[in-house]
Amino acid sequence: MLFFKRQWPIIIAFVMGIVMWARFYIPTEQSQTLQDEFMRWARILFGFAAMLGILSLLHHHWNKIKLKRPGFGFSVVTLVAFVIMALTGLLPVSWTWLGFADNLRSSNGPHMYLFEHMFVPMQATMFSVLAFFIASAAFRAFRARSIEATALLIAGCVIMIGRVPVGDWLASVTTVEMGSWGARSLINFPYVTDWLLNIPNAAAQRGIILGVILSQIAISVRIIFGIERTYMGGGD
Amino acid sequence: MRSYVLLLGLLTFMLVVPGMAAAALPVPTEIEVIDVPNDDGASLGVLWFWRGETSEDTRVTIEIEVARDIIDEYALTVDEADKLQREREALRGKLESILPAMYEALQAAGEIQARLQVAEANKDPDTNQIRREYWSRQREYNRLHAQREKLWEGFLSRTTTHKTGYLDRQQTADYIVATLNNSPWVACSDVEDAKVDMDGNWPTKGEQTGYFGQDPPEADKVFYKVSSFRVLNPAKFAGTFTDAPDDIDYSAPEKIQLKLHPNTAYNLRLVVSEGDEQAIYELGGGTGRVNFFNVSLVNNLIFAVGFGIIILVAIMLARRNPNMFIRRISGLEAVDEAIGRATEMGKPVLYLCGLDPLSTLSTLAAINILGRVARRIADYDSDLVVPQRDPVVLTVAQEVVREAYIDQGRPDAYKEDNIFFVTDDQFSFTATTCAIMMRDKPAANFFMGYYYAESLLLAETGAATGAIQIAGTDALHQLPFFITTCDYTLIGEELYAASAYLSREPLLLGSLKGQDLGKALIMLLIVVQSLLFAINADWNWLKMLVEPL
Repeated sequence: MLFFKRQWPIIIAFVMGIVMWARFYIPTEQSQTLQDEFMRWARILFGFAAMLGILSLLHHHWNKIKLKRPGFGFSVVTLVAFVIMALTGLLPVSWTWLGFADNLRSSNGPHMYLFEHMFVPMQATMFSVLAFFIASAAFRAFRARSIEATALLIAGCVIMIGRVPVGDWLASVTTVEMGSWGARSLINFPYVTDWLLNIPNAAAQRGIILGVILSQIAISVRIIFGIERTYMGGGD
Repeated sequence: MRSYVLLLGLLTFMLVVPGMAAAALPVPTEIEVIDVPNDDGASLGVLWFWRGETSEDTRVTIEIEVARDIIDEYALTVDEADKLQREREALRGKLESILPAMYEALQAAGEIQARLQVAEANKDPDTNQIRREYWSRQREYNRLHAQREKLWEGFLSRTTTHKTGYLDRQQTADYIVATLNNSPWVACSDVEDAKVDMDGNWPTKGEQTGYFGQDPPEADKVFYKVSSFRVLNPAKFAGTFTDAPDDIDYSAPEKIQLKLHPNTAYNLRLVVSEGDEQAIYELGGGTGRVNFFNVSLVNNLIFAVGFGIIILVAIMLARRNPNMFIRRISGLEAVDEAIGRATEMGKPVLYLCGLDPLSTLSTLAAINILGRVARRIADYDSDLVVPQRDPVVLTVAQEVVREAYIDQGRPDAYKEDNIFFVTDDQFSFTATTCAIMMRDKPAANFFMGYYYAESLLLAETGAATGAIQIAGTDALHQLPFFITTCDYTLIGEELYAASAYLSREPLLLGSLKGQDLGKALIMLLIVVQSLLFAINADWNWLKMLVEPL
């Protein structure tokens, strides 16, 4: 049994890792079919895992209600909402007596009605909150307490001005003729913005990407050769 | 005399004007039909140079000769044709009793719906009565429609073998026969009325680095790939085609795309046109061969193998000399501090594995770190809360944490209920996690893995609760948000190094050393190439070496 718990998953990881890596270099139709087949298996696996997820959700909230843990009222709301959405979506009964359409797929059907009129607005609300959080995060980031934070503050201000119409306006009103150099703008925020984004920012991003890609290859090698096994449980 | 002059003028017009027009049409020269290198073998490449100027009106179509023997691939045997005929007649008999009633119910429902809308607008007292009437007809339609679908599915299941239906095969064979009878030359789907792009350029061989590598000979040659052709509905030739679905017979689209097969010879021709003028060039035959190795990825293979070997050698060296220096990563040094603080305060530790599925490497890295963090938490006897968005990640996380507690000799302290599925919806997950932060006030929050727009919502809420926050992600666009709101942030590669760093396992640390060696090598190449480029701008061999990677 210990073999199936310890060695067998490592063997599977090794064989599949090598096969899928080799597949990348083989352009035949069979190679593509192999990948498609594995993707299908993954989807089937996800279907079973989704059932486990639902069980986990129900178990978690049911326990919370049973033990009357703090905030168990929210769990009641979650379970009630879960049951309502499941029933309206699955039961083959008529909901016309409540004024809904009979077709479950119709936007006037109870399931889609609840989805469109409750779920979607709540989701949009959550996303909208982001605007305020960006403001508060920007306030925290732009406090000039160190040289780095001051540089960030200056760069942030320059990019903000460079990306709004006033930046273009300043560039145009301060344009002067400079002999053989032609017309040059003395205060050109859009130019500085582009330079900041395309040179220092792009260089830093590429450095990070390079590091990430090398790390991903390294972690792949560790997983394929069974050196990293934490993700299987049981540690080293 | 005048008549001679007129005749001469007429002759000149007849000879010169068409000649001028023909000269105006650009001519493809040095035409080649090739097996496309590095592809799956199911395509052919056509290359040529233009002689004469092309314009925005120049159009190119590559046509293929439909060989009669391809019908054999699709034609049904006598038994199959008989069975199909019997099944179709049986289906027709059953549908004939359903379809008139179904369409009648649909029409009636439509008419009542129109009345219902008027009644609703006028707040008519009979509105409810009309609505009931409408739903009664709609239900009738749904019932009959479901019956039709069931019959159709039964028919398909009885006439389908090895994933290919008799009906599809017969339809394809019919289309091929009809197309052949009309003209054996049909347009390839990939190159039909092709023209210059927005910049006035034709696609060239030099742009196809995936097939031809960097700077191939004759890089300016126009290149098109053809991999399929179309055969048309017989009704299209008869001029009776309508795209309305046929409920009794099979659905009949206007055209069907057929793919080219590997190791099969096809005849091609090129049609160049400008307005009403047209010139046809016979190209001869070509055969696509299956390629078992993509040669354009050789540099990728060398790099991957070379880097893999460097890492494995570094791991072997680490086995001999386990005391190797790894630079301090303050975010990981703070893990103990964060967990210790949670223990002192009697508050839980919140750990997120990101929003991506397990197939993403950053999620795997987050799971690896979770295993290390869970061990420390088991040691400290603190609580670990792990809300999950992906059910597959959930099961793996539960197993990893359970094993971590068992390894530390604390199986009793493991609470499976603390690692739970929330939802797979992004903002619902975010709302729940933020609510957990606000209600339970975890003393430490870990945000590891890949994040999207929710990163700031999570981290800012956590910052508001006063928790120690450690984030680690390779999502470039979310890094600034985490850096702003978290106490420590693992940037990019540090996320992948964390598991090795926390475990202090010599083998894992060895792989970090190998990674650093690989990075040093790339930096060296960049510096060398920069110097070479500074000396002579034509020396861009390194760029050419790595570009298709």
